Amino acid sequence: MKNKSIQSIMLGLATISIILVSNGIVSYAQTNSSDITVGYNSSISNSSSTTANNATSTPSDNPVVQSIDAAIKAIKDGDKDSGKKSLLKAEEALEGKSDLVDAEKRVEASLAALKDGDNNAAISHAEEAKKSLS
Amino acid sequence: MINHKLIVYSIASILVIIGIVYCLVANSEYEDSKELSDMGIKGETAEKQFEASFFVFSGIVNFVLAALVIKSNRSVVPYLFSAGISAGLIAIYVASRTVGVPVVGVEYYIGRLDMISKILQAVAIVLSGLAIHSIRNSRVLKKII
Repeated sequence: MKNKSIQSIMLGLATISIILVSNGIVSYAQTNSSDITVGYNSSISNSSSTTANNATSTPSDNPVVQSIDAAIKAIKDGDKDSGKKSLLKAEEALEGKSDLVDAEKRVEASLAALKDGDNNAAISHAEEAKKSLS
Repeated sequence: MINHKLIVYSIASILVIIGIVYCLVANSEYEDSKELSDMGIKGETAEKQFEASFFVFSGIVNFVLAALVIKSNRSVVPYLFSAGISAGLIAIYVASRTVGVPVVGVEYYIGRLDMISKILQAVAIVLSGLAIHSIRNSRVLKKII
């Protein structure tokens, strides 16, 4: 009886470990595939960011807001790589600006959500980042 | 009567899983830091490297605790450490999502792995409490006999 319980626990541990490790491998593979496509997508990103700016109802002169808008549009279109690139652009622009820490943290949250595959959270945090900038 | 051996192996298993989760999170943070470093975002790179180091350290601490729990011969110390460290890590996480923590500040995103590790840490605290209770009960019984 005792041994059976311990065996069940060990089996559970092994199963959970396999799930966790496989999740890690999948995310690693996704990261690598996005790395490979970053170069290719840079031109696409530029064009999509232009498109996003044109599509925005109230276009902003702020380049950070423009990058976030482009990211939101790309994520909505299912283009995660472009979305990520635009968010990183926004992050780069916000780097070291102590008065814009909240917006920077929101952009980071959006990137983390995007990495987790949670597109809705990514968009919501990106919107919050925009709000922090206005 | 709760089977003490069952509790011991359950806690050890949970601590190992928490350690694995921390290692996965550390790997993810390290990947992020490399990416940010390539883009020249120095401040955020340093933050990610700090987080990766912290998560690796937390993972190792959990593996060590799992070994101590298995090797402990009816001592409450490893369980006290397991519960205390798990509670501390939960407190740091809650602080990082609310009031902010040094170096990192406030983080807004609650990830899947974060949720898994916090639930497992809560379970580890409860099971450690049960283990301590079981050990104290058996000591009282021994004294009576």
